[in-house]
Amino acid sequence: MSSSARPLVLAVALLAGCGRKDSPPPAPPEVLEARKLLAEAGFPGGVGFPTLELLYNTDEYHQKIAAAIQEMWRVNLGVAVDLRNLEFPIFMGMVHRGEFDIARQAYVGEYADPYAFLELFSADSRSNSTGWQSPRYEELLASSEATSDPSRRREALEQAERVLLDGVPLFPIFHYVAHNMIKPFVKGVFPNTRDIHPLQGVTLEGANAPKDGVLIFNGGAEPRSLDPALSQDVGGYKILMHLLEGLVMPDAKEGAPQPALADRWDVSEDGRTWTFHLREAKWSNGDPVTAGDFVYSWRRAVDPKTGSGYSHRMYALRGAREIVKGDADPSTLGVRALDERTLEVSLVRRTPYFLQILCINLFFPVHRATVEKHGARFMEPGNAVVNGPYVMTEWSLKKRKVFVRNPAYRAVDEVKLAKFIFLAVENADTAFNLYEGGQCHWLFRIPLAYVDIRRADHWVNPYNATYFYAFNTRKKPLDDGRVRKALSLAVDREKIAKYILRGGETPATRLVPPPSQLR
Amino acid sequence: MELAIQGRSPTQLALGRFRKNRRAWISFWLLLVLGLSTVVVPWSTSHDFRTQTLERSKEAPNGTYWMGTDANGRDLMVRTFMGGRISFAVGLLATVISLAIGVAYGAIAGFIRGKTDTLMMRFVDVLYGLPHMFLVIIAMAIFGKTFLLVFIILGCFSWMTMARIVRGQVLSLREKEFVEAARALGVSTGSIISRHMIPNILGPVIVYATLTVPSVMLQESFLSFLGLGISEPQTSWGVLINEGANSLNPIRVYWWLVVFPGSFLALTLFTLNSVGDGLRDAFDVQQR
Amino acid sequence: MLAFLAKRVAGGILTLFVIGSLCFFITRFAPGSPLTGEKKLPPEVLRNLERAYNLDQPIVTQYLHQLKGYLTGDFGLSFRYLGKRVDELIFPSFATSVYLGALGFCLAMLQGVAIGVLAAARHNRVPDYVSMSFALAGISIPNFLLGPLLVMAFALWRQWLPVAGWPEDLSAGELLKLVLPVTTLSLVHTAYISRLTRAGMMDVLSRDYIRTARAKGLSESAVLLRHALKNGITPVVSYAGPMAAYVFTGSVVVEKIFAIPGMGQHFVDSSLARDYPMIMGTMLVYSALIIVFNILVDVAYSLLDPRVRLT
Repeated sequence: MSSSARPLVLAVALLAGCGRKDSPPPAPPEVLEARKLLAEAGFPGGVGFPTLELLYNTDEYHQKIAAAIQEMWRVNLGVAVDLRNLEFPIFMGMVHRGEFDIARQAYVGEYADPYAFLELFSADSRSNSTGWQSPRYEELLASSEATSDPSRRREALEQAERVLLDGVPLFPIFHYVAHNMIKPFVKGVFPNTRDIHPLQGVTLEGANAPKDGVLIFNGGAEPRSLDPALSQDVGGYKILMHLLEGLVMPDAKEGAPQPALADRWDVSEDGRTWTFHLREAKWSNGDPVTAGDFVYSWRRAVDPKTGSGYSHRMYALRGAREIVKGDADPSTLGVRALDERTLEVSLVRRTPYFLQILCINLFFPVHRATVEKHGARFMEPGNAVVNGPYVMTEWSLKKRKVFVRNPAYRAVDEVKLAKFIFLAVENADTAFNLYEGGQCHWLFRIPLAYVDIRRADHWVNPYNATYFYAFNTRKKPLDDGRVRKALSLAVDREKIAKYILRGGETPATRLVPPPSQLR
Repeated sequence: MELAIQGRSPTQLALGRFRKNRRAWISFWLLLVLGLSTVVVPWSTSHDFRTQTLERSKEAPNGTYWMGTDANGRDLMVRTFMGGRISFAVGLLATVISLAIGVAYGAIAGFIRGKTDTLMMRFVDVLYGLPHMFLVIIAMAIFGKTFLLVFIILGCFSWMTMARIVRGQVLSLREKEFVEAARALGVSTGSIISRHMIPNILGPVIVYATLTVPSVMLQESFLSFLGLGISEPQTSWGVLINEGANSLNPIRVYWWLVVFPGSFLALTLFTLNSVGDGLRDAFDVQQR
Repeated sequence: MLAFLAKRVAGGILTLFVIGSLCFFITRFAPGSPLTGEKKLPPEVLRNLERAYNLDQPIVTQYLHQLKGYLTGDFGLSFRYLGKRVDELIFPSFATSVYLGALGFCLAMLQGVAIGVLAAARHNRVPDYVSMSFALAGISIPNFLLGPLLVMAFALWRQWLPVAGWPEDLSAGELLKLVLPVTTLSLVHTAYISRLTRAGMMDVLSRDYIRTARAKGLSESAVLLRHALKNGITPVVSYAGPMAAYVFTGSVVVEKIFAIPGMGQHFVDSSLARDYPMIMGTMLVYSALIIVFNILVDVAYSLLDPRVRLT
C-alpha cells in the first residue's frame, strides 16, 4: 500500500482495538433473585419485555435518580425504560388519571403515624393511582382504627405495611432528611422530624447578629395561596402558622401538638367526642375569638364550593365525607359551638392522632366578616384580621413578606422575635449566596451540588417523608407481582442515597419513614 | 488552437479565495475533524456513555476517566463526544432550515414590498407572538417525541429573525441602480431576487447563520430540560453545560463538568465562525 | 410619516387580536389543566372550581367572555396565584424588566456597534481578532453559565458587588445590584451585535462611494461614522427589534440567578402551570412590544437610507 495510507490504516487498527467496553461487576444476591423472578414471569434476561416509561416531574434530583434506575434495570435485568419528565401540573394530572407506567411520588406525612402513609393505598384513597387493592389490607387498616389498645394497633399497622410491601404496588427509594442552614446567632431553633419551627421563640444573639434584630428567612417559592383552607404546601404552612392560631399548634422542640387557643380538652369514653375549652383571645381588630369562628371556618374548609383540594383531611370528622361528595350540607359537619368558648367535635371513630391533624392549616380559624367583605383577598396586608403571633405588613409577590409582632395576640409577651422577613427566592444557589453574604440568615434547601458540606451551621435530621415510585398495576406486564418485585429488587438504593443524594438520606425498604414508625 | 485559459465560475473563484484564507481553511478542517470525532471517539473509548459507576461519581479527571465523571458516575469524555453528535446535528439541521426559509421569505418580502410585504411581515409578527413552548408541546403530543421533530421545530423558530435581517438588507439594495438596470433589461423579478439580491446579502446572512447555531443548541438544551427534547441517557453539549452550571458553587469546584463540554462548544463555534467569516470574505463580490 | 404610523398602529392592534385569539386556542388545546394540583381533587370540588373559573363552559363562550374582559380592561384573575389579578401581577414585574432590559439593550448596542466598527475598520488585523474573540466568548458562554461565574468571581470571591437582588432605592449601594445582571444579560447581545455590525460595515466599506469619500480626503472617523455606519448598521437594526422585545420582557435565567422580580419568570411559570389568563397577559405584552419595536425598526430603515420609502 502507498506510504500515505499506511499510517492511516495503523491508526484505524489502533482505534478499533481499544473499543472494549467496561465489563459489569458481579451481581449481588438481590439482583440474582430479581433475574430469577423476571425469568419466571416469562422475560428471561429481559427478552421480550416491552419498553416502559418512567415518569417524573422536572427536577435535577429526580432526573439523576431516574437515570440511575434506568441504567440499573438495563445492566441488571436487560430491561429498557424510557425516561420522561413533565412539568409538575401536567405530571400530576397524568398520575391522577392513571396515564403512566411507573411514576415518581413522594409523600410528606402531615402527622407522625404509620396511618398517614398507609391510608394512601386504601381502596377509597384518592392518592392511590396504582390500581392495587387488597381486602386483607383494608381489613388490617380498619382493625387498627377499631382497637383502643396501642400494641394491637401497632401490630395491625405493621402487618398492613407488610401486606403492602409484599404486593409491591410501589418501590420506595429513600426516606427524606430535613436540611437547614442557620446562622449561629439564631437561637431557639430545634431540629425536628416535622421540620416545623415556630419563630416566636427565636432570638438573635451573639457576634454578627443583625443590629436591627430582624430575622431573614428564605421560604422558597411563592405559595399559591394564603387561604388556610386552600394552602396545601409546606411553604404556605410556614407562613400561616405565624399569622393564625388553631386549637393546638406544633411546639418548637418536636413539632408535637401543644395547647394553643384551646388550653384544655375532654375526650369521651369512646374517643369520638372531643370538647375543647378555648382561652380568652382576640382577633387583631379587637373582636373576640369564639368557638363560632371555628365552626364557620371548618364548615367553609370542607365546603366543596371553597375549592379546597385538602378537604379529605377532615374525613376524621363526622359528616365530612358526605359533604365533600356534595351529598350533604356543610352545616352537618360534626362540629358545634356549645357556647362562646366551648367547641364540641364529633369524630367518625376513635382517632389517636387527632391532635396532630388539628395542627394542619385546614383547621385554622378565619375571621368571618373579613372573608365576607374581601373574598379571595382576605389575607392581604391591610385587609387581613388574624389571631396569631404576627401580622403581615408587606406582601411583595415573589420577593418577600414582612411580619411584625401582633400586639393583640393572646400571649404577646411570649413572642420574643419582634419582626422577621420571609424571602421568596426560588433558586437555591442564589439563596445560598445571599446566606453567605449575610443577607439571609436561614435556608431550608441546599443545592444538590454541595448538600454534603457538613458545616457547623448545616443541620440535618430525619424528616417525615418518603420518596418512592408507583407502578401502574393495570398495565401489562406490571400486573404480574413477580415483575414488580424483580424491578424493585434490581434497584440499589444504598448507592443512590450514598452517591447521588449525598445528603444523609436513608435508603428505604418500607413506605413508613422512621419518624412515623411506632415503637 | 487550444484555449490555454479556462474560464472559471464565480463559485469556483470564491472557493479558491476561501482556500487561500489560511485561518478559514484550517478552521474548516478542524471543524470537520471535530464533527468526525463525535462519531469515532465514543466507538473507540473503553467506556460506554451509559455505564454508571455510582461510587465514582463527580470525580475529577484521572487515569481511568480522562475528563472526570458526572453526578451519575458516567465518563464525561465519552458523553462529551456523544453530546457533540446531537449538538452538531441540531445546529446543522436547524440552521439549514432557518436559512432556507428565512432567506427566501425575507428576500421576497423586502423586494416586492407593498401589500405582500405588509402581510408577510405581519404574519412573522404573529409567529413571534405565539407561545413557542405550547406549540412544541402540541407538536410533541401529535407527532410523538422524535429527534427529527425537535430539529425541525427549532429551525422553524429561528428563521424569523433571519428573514427580518434579509428583508432589511434587500430594502436598501433594491434602490440601487443596478436593479433599475436589470429591470430595464427585462429581467424577471424572480431572477433579480435570486441572482442579484441574494448573492449581495450573503455577508450578514452567513454571519447570522453562524450565530443561529449556538442559539439553537441552547434552545435545544432548554427544551430537553423541560422534557420536550432529548432524554436520558442521550445528552448534548447544551445539556452537559447546563448540568455543569448547576453544579457551580463557591464550595465545591466541579470544574470539569463545565470546562470540557464548554470548551468543545466554544471550539466548534470558533471554527464555525472563522469558516463563516472566510466564506463571507470569499463571496464578497466587491472585494477584488 | 403620520399616515404610516397610523396604518402600522392599526395593523398592530389587528395583529394583537389575532395573536391573542390564537394564543387562547393553542393554550387550551395543549395537554394539561390548571386544576391539577398535588392532591387529587374530589369530583364535587373539581366541578365547583371549573364553574368558578368558567372552565366548564364551551370553549367559544370562554373565548368571548375573555374578549369582553379585555375590551373593558379586565384582564382576569390568575389561576395560579389565587385572588390576584393578572394586571397587578404583570405590570410591576414588567416595569422591573423594562428597566433591566433598557440598560442591557443600550449597553449591548453601544458596545456592540463600537466593537464591530473597530473590527471592520481594522479588518484582519489585531484589533479585529481580539474583538472577534471577545465576541466569540460572548456567543459560546450561555447566560446560565456566565451569571454564576460572574457572581462567583465578583460577589463571592472578591466581594465587590452584591450577590443578587433588585435595587430598593437609588442609593449607590443598591444600584450596584444592577451591574452583574445587566452584564450577564447584555454580553451575548453585545457579541451578536458586534458581529453583525462588522459584517454589515465590511460590506459597505468596500463600496465605491466609500472609496470616493476617502479619495476626497475625509478623515477615517468621518468616513466610518458619517458615511459607512448609516448603511452598515442595517443588519443590526433588523436584529435589534426582536432583541429589544426579548430583552425588555425579561430573561428567565437572569431573573432566577439574581432573584429579580421581573416578567420573564411569569412567562415560564404561567406556561408550566397552565395559568391561562397569565399566559395571555404575558404573551400580549411581549407581542405588543414586538410590534412597537418592529414599527420603530422600519422607521429607522427609512431614516438611515432615504431611498427606502415608508409604505
